[in-house]
Amino acid sequence: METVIFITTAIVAVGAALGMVLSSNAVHSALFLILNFCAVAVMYLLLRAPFMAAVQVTVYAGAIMVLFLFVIMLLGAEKADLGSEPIGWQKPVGVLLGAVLLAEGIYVAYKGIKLVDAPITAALGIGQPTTLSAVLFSKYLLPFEVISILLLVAIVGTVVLTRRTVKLKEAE
Amino acid sequence: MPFNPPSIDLTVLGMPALLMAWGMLVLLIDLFTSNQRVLATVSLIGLIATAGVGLLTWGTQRTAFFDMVVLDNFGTVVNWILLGATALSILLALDYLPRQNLMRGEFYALLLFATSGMLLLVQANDLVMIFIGVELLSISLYVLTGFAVPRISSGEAAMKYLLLGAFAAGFLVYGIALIYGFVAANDAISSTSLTAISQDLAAKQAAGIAINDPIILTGLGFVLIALGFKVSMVPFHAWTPDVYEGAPTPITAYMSVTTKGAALVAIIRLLTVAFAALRPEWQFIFAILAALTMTYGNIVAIAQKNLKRMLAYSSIAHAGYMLMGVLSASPLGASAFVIYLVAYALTNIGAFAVLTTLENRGMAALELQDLRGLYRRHPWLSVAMVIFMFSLAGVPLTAGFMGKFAVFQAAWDADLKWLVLVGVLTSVISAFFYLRVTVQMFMEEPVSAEAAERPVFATAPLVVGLTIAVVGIIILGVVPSQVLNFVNNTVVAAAR
Amino acid sequence: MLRPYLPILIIFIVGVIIPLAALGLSALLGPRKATKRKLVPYESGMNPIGPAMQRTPVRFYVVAMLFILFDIEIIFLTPYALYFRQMGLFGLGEMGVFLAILLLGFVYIWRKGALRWD
Repeated sequence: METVIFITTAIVAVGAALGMVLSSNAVHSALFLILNFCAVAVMYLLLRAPFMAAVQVTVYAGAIMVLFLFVIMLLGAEKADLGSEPIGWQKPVGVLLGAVLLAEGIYVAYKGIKLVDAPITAALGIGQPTTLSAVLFSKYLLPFEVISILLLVAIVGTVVLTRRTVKLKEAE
Repeated sequence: MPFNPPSIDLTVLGMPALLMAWGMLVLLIDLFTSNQRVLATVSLIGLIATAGVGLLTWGTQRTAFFDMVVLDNFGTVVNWILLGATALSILLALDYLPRQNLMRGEFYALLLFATSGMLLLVQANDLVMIFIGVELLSISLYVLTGFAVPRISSGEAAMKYLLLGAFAAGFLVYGIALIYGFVAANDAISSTSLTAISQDLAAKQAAGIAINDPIILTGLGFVLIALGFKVSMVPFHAWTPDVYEGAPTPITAYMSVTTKGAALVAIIRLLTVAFAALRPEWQFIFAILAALTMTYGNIVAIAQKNLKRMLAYSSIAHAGYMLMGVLSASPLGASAFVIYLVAYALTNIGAFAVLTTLENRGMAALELQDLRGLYRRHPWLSVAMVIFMFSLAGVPLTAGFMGKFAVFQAAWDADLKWLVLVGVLTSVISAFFYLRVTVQMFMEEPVSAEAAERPVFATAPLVVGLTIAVVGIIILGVVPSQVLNFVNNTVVAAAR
Repeated sequence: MLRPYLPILIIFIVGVIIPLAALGLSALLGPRKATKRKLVPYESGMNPIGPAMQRTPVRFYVVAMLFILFDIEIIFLTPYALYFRQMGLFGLGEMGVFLAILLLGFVYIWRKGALRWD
């Protein structure tokens, strides 16, 4: 059963990735990417990492892609302007590197090479949300709290860089 | 999994925690007043209070929050230097911001948040903490770099810094993941703390497992690339001149000193606490990079016509000298680094303070020739600038000389004699362009009558800042022994 | 293994079926008499002016960026929601500090007028 789900998701993921690259309309590309993210989220579930799946859907498919769509729409850049590639060597090099990565993956899978001796996830149950909570709120408490400061700085930065002249009286 | 509540140790976390809270306070005050003198004063009080916390916790040495952060005298001393540099930058900014029409209260809050990130980085004893410290200081600095954003160069600088910085952050995370993967793969120790990494490496060594595994070397290399980016170590320096030129001058002064200081402390802790066992692997590579950094920075600085760019290249070179102290990986090297950082902080912020007094609205780029005849217009300012240039060049009786002497000594003791030779030679080269600035001020006539009339904005806070810098440089240069003894005792005690 | 996620899959399927059924049934059952007026896009009785795809004002983008930041906050709330019973009051305090700091961010946005549309 798991294999069937995996193969279905994998086909969807690869198809969506191809659709994203090949689509000439940038909005369609973005929508394909959302589908791809969702398929990858299902794969995280198969890997017993439900929290990662939730993050994938909430942050990537949800928030980041909204930003992508806004960028596309506020630039009015739905239609890709093919034919003018500013960096000529980019495409062949990209294809070459992609082919190398694919070959490497096939080789590793074919030879059955173990990259690590034991799967860490299974041993420590890292993928389980409650395990993650136990670690996040005890051992990693300090980084967790500092992240709120980090987010605060990001909020301030967003406002500072986008609102140039704010008159305090007007805001009241 | 049972919940194991951490003990909240505010002694160890005192300095960064107070500064973060103070940053939030400044942010809150900014919502209700637009008087920036109030904000600057509150910020300065916060910096002093944070330094005071360091005094209260002086002598304590322990880790807290599951080894996430460490408190020792070495870290406290560096924290004081960073706080001092922040305070000087606030003095620089106080009249610069309204003059450039950049008067927005968030400036001070962001400055305090950036500094608190640096304090965390200095006290970090864990790879995750290093990452968060780096991000906190970087994100604040991206915004501060773009603070003059209607000016195109400022926006360009912020954009470049953000894109390359995000790339460097990617290296940092990937490096951390690889190190963690190697350390945690085979046994139950699953910790990212530097102490745990060194214990794990020692255990592996005892068990006869090779620790110079490609995975961990790649991971360490990636982390060092990311930190080297923050230090602007060659070949990860490319952003430096553009960003330093485009950022508001007080911010350039601030980040040219503090970012390097904080990131170098992280490198020291990483190399000496976690990866001491891999010393043969990293020391030689680092020495070559330090040599390249010194040579490149000083040689390219000669060709610069723009003062900010010249100081940017010179700051790359100074990062190279500080790296010499770092890679010596000895208590002597660490104390040499601290002395160099003090000298460099006073000198570089002082030099940028002089630029700030000359910078008028709409005149972002300051050329070398704009200094011509400054002596007639403002003798005291040019005397101060001469002292700064001499100190940057490392002329005896200035703080810069003490710093260079200390790092050369440390590198010599660490048996890197060829590196000392490179350091001395590049210092001689650097004297050329530092002295050229002096010559411009004293010997040359102004380019035009209009240039001779240009105002000099030596306002009260700036004069205070300049005086502190000059006095500090002279004290450190003429009677250095007290400072040297203090720093040596502190750092050696921390190493024990 | 994926058994607990079955309800989610069912909701997905139902979510796909309902609009398909609505469109399909009306296409099958409804009479179709195309006139010129009917083929014009409906814009409250007005004649359409220009294409539907227009450049969005940059203000949306600011809101979207702020949304991402609070979205990340939600990601941190999820592990808390699954574990708060075990942590008791201590955990409440931890989350309280986290949320209080982000609340300051919200107050800041509000006071600075970044959410105003003027």
